[in-house]
Amino acid sequence: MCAPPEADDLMPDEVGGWSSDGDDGHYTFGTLYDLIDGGAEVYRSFGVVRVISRRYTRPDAPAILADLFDMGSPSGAYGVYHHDARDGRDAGLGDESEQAGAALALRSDRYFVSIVALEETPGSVAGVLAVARAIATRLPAGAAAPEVVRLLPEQGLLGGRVVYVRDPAYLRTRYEFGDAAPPALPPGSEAALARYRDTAGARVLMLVRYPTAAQAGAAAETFRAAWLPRADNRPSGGAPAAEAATPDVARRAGGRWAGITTADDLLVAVLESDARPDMNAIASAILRRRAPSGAVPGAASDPTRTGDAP
Amino acid sequence: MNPPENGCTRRDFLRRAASVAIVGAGIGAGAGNGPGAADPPRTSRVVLVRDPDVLAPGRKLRPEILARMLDGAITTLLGEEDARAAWARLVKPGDTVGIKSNVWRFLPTPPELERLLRDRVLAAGVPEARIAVDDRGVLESAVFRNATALINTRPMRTHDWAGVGSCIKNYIMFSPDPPAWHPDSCADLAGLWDLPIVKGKTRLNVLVMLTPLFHGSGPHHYQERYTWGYGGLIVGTDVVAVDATGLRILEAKRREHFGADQPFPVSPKHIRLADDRHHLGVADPARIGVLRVGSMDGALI
Repeated sequence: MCAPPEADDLMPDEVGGWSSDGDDGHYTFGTLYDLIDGGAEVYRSFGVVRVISRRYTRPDAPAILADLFDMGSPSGAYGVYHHDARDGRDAGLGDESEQAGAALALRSDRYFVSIVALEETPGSVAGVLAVARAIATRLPAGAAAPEVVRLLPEQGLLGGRVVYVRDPAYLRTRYEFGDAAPPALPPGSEAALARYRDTAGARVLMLVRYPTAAQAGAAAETFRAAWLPRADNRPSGGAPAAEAATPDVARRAGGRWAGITTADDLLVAVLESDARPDMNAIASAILRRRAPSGAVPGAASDPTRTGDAP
Repeated sequence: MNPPENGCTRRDFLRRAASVAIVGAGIGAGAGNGPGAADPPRTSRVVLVRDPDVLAPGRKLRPEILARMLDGAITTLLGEEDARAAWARLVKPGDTVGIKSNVWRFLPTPPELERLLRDRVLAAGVPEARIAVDDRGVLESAVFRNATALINTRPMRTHDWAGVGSCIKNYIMFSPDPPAWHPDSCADLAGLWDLPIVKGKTRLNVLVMLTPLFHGSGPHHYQERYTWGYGGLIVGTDVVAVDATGLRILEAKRREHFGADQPFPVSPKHIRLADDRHHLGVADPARIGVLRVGSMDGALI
């Protein structure tokens, strides 16, 4: 396996009149708190390996901060990129990118890049894009989203609001489970949280992929006890069938529906829904996206295009 | 001008405050910051003071207007006619006073406000050697280690792991192990206020709402476009009520900006839990009287 390029080689010294101030910061998993006050845990939860932080200046213009994160894996880069909602303007760089005014984020292979100007001016907005382009051309590219994300059904999916998770503490920041314990996320597992809106209303879907189907089943059983305490096999006091709780589906306190099932090595949970979810249909839709070979939409034969190595 | 909330006008407040039994250094107004400090029914009050002229072009601060705002807030909060008398109730000449600030590079506590708070404490008779302003160095500061009184001040902003960073969270640097407070979206930050170096010492909280950050993205969670010139301070002795009021303003700003209800990506539940679980103060807006001083155009609440 080739060693990744040195981060310093991936950032230009000068571009479009913006020059590095020559005082780069270098950070690791252990020292990231020195760079980021408030969000370091996000990057640590995705296994950040190292970071180079460079400041670009130009006379009479606000400074531009460029931070290049080597996340150690394409899935790590995907996770931190999608930590923020992504429904802004595609900047057309790397594997995914977005520019909003004087801020630009991109992911490419195992790298995540954040570029932001301290003040938003026409010149700084252009400068941010120029720096980003220069960095993007130096980065490897071609990483698909992690498998658990690619398995999400597309109908009604609010694509900019997909969250990828590998860490239990991070999961608890992305969805409020209240007093219930979220599903276990042991090493080797990964999860996706996605919001949907269609004719059936709004819902939040969570997929967790476990190393084995047995682990998925055990996790589903535990989570079902916490999340669906009222689910059982009996009709709900003569309620119409559409209102009946089943082992997999019930209304939670507050009246919203929820459902939990498994599909192979996946835990499938509708955490909340306006309408009663058909868990069999949802699980089938997910499995249809996984071909018998294990390939899923978005994956490519080139192993560098998939998420992390198995 | 927006109507007063909960039927509480400044005149009502002054009349009521006059009958409040002031205990110790004078922080008997509303719910205190600690279990047992509040008598049922637990209600609280904060002062929202605003002046759009506090921000000069380029968002430079006008210190003289900031001073007027702070003095107006303190006198209103404590029901005193003059700031000197109000400060004399907050700190005594025998106190050792730590002013807990915040140095986040994108939106720090303004140095002008730090100087102002220090000046007011000095004017109350506390010797300069027993006053310190600090953030990251509080555990190494002799003044903070020996403090008998704390003043807590920082800007309001959204936060990647806690939902928002405001006055409750500002005490995380009093912990020798800040990451230990990170589980479950920093749900139990209010527990910081039980640390011996902190417990029962806070005399005043000043939540800086001059240019709050209502949304963030990227590793530094800062973009100038998600700040706005609110020109305000929220001042109170109940840190939970102060934060809960600031949170309402951020929520309203997000609704205004995004055009629809836009929940925080990370729930700032630690404010609610500071009340429900830790009984540190009052988080329910229905039980918080907001006393308004100055211009309320665009106040959002």
